[in-house]
Amino acid sequence: MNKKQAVKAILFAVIFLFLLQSLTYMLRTNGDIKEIFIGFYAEPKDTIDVVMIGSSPVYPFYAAPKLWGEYGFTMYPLASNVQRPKAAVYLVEEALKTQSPELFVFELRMYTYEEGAMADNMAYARGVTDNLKYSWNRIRLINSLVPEISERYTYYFDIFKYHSNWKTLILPDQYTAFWYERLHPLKGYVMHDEVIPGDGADYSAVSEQMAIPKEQEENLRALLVYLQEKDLNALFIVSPMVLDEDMQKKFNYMENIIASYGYDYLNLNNYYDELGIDFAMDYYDGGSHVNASGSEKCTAFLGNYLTEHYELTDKRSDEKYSTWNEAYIYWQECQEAALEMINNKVTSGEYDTMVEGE
Amino acid sequence: MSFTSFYFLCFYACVLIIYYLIPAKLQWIFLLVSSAAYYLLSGNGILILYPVVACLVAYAGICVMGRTADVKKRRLALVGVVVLLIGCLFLLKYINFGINTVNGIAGLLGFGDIITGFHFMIPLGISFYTFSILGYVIDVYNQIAQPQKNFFKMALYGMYFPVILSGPIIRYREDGEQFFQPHPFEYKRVVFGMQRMLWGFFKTLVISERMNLVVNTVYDNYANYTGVYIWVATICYAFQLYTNFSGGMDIALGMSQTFGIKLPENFETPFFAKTISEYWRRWHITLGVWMKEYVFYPLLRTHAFSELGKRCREKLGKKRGKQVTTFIAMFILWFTVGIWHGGDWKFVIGSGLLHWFYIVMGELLNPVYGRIMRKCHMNGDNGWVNGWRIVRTFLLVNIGFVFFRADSTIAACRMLAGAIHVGNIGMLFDGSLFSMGLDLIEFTIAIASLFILLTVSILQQKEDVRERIARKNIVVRWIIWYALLFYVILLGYYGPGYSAAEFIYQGF
Repeated sequence: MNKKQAVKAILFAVIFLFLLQSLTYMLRTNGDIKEIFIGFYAEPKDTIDVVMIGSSPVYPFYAAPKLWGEYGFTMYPLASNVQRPKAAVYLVEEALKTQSPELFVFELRMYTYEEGAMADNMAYARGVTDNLKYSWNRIRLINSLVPEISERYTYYFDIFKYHSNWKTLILPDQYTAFWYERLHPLKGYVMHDEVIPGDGADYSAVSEQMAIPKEQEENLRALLVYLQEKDLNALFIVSPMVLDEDMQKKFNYMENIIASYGYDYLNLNNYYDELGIDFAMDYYDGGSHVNASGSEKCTAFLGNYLTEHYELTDKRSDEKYSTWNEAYIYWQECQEAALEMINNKVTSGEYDTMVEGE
Repeated sequence: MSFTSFYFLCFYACVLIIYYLIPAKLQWIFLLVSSAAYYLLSGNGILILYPVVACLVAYAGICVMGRTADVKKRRLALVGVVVLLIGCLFLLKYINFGINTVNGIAGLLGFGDIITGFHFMIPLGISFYTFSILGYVIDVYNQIAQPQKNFFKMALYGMYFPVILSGPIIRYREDGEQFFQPHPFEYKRVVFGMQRMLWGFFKTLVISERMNLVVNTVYDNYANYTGVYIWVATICYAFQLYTNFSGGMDIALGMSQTFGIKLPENFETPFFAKTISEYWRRWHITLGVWMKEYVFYPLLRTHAFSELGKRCREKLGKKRGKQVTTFIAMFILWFTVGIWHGGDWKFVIGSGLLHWFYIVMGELLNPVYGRIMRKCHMNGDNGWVNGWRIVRTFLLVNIGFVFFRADSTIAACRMLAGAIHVGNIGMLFDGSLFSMGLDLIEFTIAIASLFILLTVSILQQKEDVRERIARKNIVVRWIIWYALLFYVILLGYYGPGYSAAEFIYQGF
């Protein structure tokens, strides 16, 4: 093979790999989580003050546009459905590639679940791995989340899974994902206007502890050690939900561990009055996840807490954050409509019904 | 380890890179090691003993033949090898066929199963390596091939991994020596080989796997379908089988080409054939050649057939007498072809005796056909007549495919009976077509892909399409290859959640 042939072969392969990468990005199943991650990658370098990592108790709970519009700092969720705690360290690393956040916030609900149950469902691993850009960090994450070595190639090269989505390529959301960067209109926040009341009870007086699954404790400790080594500022939170006494004990158990590493902990379930949470109207699924009404309360509580406890400078006058202003205006419009819808449902008593599988 | 699996592609890439990095003299040894590794990685590793022992037996046979001119000893060695290799093949693949037949007859006579069947683990590619090795031993016996003195070279010939799954059946005297020659890297050859592999992936993953869905819908529930549904499914099966088998060949031949080894072609647009005989000269060519060379002609040369021929000529005249002998020899030939495909009457009929019947009838009716053509003042080479011949041959072949694909001979007969009622032809136009496993879009993709296949097949008759593309400027040719590459990646049926059908001929 002469030089010219070698150059041609390499060029052909490079173009192929580039096109394959972009094609995969476009073919990845469209939806809220993909939009959240694409949105994160589109944010300009070093513009995110707070990165929130966790599972579904993140993206519908805390409205980043409100935090910006009313508190002046930027927050972005790197969250996915049933996100396995093991993923947290890798998501921090992913965030640090483009951002230098003042604070990382970790939502703890998934730490109370058995790892095995989550590992059995590949969708929970793919929710994170298949929404990241290709990188060495992503490979490490896959190695960590996918125990079956012979299956890992379908994660490394997720075109093996998503090529059958080719019919979705006609959707603008898909073909505009070529670079896997597109600003999220609500900065990662996912709004719900459904109402399914929950039956919540206050367990803030419970002070006993109950061990969380051993593997999750290891994951939590590993994360804490990592944060210490990297000298990163972090807050561990629990979003409000319908919980039972055992859950509260597990959260207490985690609080103890977190405190022993010198990090802050905030369980919003201990502040129902301050939050003003109303289980009859603030949840869209019977008490697990909040709708726009509940979100506004959680966001306000968190916004106040963060501005009180951390040095987050107000950047609202900085022009380079114009997209955040747009997101705030858009959020206000959506929020108004959603609150109206929620109020109507509560007033009329015509609640939504749970769809099987949710 | 299927050719279309991710792990095979990784395996192949590693083999190819190392193949051209090591000294050229060692390439054949590396191919042998790779072939053994492939065999070991493709299922139950212990089964590698079968081809190894087969090679040892053949090697022992040709060593004897190489050392002595004594006809008796040479014949004894040949018989020994044939008995052992065919015996092993028979035992593993056909003993249950015999037992099932006996039990079937016993059942008809009111008895239950009188013999219990056996369950053997069948080594990969047993029919292919057995035939390749046997052909070589027979050639050495006939002194038209040199006996190989190096066992490991013999083993490479017998176990060469690109052909082990589904052929082609190679002949040592034509293809053998190139395995052991050094093959320096040649850019064009390697690129062309890869392009051919890509074409094979297109046929297999895009067309064959799509057709598979339609075929399975009907053949797995044949009692629920009649008439045009059965015809549509059978025609889809014809294309499924062709694209699956010839696609596998493209991958095997393309892969070999990247190693510098040219293997014999196994297909030559078989659905363009105008007669059944021509069809078999275009479909699974290497099996046809092997059967003629090592079964049909030797059979005609036997003392028994000479005697039979003599008697037939005396009683029926020269022409008819010769025909009778030929037809009897052909019956044995087609029976063998049928049973080679599998130990079941559906294969014996669908791939064997039915075709024998077609050919015999063709021979017998040819004079009648000629007279009709003359009376109608029609030119035998007229485009319309040729078109009709192609369609007729295709439909006749499809009847064989019904047997080939159906669960059993009885199921095939029932399907053919059901296929006669074509009153439901409206299903082609009322949307029912899209309830057969492929929706409108998928069906359109399948038709478009078949159109691409047809176009390339027509172009290929005049000139190698790769050469034609290679003459274009770099932008055009890269667009063509990227388009094909991404067509396969996007529209191919593979990956998690999809259980791809294996190469159909892999089981033979």
